[in-house]
Amino acid sequence: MHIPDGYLSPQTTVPALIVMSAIWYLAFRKVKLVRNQQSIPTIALCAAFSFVIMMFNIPIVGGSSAHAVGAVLVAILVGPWAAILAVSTTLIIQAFIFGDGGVLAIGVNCLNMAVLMPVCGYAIYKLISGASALGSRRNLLAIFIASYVGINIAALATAVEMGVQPMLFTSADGTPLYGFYPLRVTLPAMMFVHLLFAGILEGIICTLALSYVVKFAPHLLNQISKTPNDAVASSWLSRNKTLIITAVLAICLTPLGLLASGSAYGEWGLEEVQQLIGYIPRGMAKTADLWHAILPDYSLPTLGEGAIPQSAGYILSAIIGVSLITGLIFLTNRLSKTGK
Amino acid sequence: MCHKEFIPEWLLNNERSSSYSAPQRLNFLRRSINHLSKIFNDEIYFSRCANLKGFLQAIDPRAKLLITVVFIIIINLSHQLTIPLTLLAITLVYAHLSKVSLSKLIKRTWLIIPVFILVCSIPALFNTLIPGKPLLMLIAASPNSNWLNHGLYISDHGLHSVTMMVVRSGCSLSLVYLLLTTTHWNDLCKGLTLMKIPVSFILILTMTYRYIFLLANCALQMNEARFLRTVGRLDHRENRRFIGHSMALLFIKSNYLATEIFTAMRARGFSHKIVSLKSLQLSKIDYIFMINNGIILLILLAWSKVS
Repeated sequence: MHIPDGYLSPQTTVPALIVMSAIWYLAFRKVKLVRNQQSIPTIALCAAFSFVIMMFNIPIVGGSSAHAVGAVLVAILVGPWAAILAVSTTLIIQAFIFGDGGVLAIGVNCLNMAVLMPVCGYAIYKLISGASALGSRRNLLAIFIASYVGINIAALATAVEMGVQPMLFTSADGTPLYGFYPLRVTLPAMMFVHLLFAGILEGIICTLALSYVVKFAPHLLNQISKTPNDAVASSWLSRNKTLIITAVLAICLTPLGLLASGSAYGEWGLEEVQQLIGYIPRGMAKTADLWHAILPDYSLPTLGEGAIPQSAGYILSAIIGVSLITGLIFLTNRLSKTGK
Repeated sequence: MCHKEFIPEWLLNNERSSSYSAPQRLNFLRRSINHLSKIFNDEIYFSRCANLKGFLQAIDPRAKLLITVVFIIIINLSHQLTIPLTLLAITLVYAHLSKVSLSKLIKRTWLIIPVFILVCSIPALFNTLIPGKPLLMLIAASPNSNWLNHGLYISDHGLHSVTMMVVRSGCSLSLVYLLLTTTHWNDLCKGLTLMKIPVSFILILTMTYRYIFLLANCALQMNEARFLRTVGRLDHRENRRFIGHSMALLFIKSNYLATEIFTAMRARGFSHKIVSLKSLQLSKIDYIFMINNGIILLILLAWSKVS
């Protein structure tokens, strides 16, 4: 999952590095608030731990083996903000010392494996485990699902980042300048392996490791994961649990719209208006081309035709829409609070 | 030269080269041991090279880091082969002047990741993905065929795209490898402090690098002990349980270690500052190095615009 240099354009890697700098700054502030100076050796040791566990080979079938990423495990053990810093440090050292992942691609790799993976994994873990006891069946199931989904989200992000390159960066004659595989190749290539094998393996290993810590050193898990910082995160999640579950369910059900025929009342296009009333109003014809939607008809042209790509387009559009609206509401809320 | 090593080669080699063949089911342990011992091999090799009296070893880490990053950016922005290949030639000249083994550099940076990228990129060579002028026709065009009516051939654009990707990746890796073999990690981190990078971040980078070896040694011992004591045939479930538990044990150890390290740091008067015995200062040679490389880049960019 480590993207090397040369595969992504600097127009992708440099903005990712800028975004990561902001996330690192935020993470430093959050971790410092909780642990003060002691945070430095704790994060350093966590990073070293994260580095070493990536070196462990896990048996699969026959004589073959693979390695785990362990970012969700680190997030559950030490909290999501500390995990962002620890896994990022690991990825930086890997890029410099071992050539695993490019130096320019550090931002993108950190975004995938040090932010998306541990943060999403941790949120899912908190959402599913709720108030269940550590080591209980529900708790262990939460760890498994969180690790499985976490690694798949990171793989999905990697596939999208690689897959959009030929759409965005081509020469005048259409030759791709960087990555040449489109989304229809990168998505199945990455997701097939991660959904069927890597995700399950990651889930099993994280569950085994966590169950061991819970059994033999539960005080460590309690001590670290019940920091004030995490308490805020868990209370936010538990407060909004119903809302989040409803939103996720609603997003998953959006492809149901495909079953309906025709357009919704009042959402007619120019052709439908002409069919209905016989002509196109002049003002409507003039303004129709002013705005071209980013995702026309809730679909991505690169995904192609068919029920599954269309459903994926609907879900993707729903995720983008919900994220944008939620982001705007949060921003307004924050601005109104600071304004006071 | 780096190959004049005071630790004999056989001591740096792992058991892979020995005649003993372990059961196939223990391959995962053998691979873990190989990966973990590679960390130590690399560190010994890097620090030995960085201690040599060569050209780049005498340059300030900041100047080297700056030139490496600028070179990598230029390589990744270029769309013609001339720029990355010229910069690679310069890298190899610098490596030779810095007494870094060229064969090791090429083996380490060009024979693993670029080869993997090349293998993954083979489908992109053909006109089915990137159309262009045919260079090597494999299946002749037949207008009557529904499938491959343009034929199947290696296109010029496909070959160019794949070559660019492999060359960009290999050149970037070579530059980073040269930086690491001619600079101690601590000096590099010290250089970052002087470049106004936050102290906390550099402290974490320095400490992580130091404690990776300690934890890697713990992990290595766990794996070796298991490898030597395993008799008979264990199923994968049991082996996976061992890996999961090893990770957990490592976390418990690292957690205790973090508390002890913090206590030791406080006992020694830790004041959130990086103290180094070396004082880094940009000298005349560093400025000449940066200006020379800047001129090389300007000439290259101007030349690529003209051609």
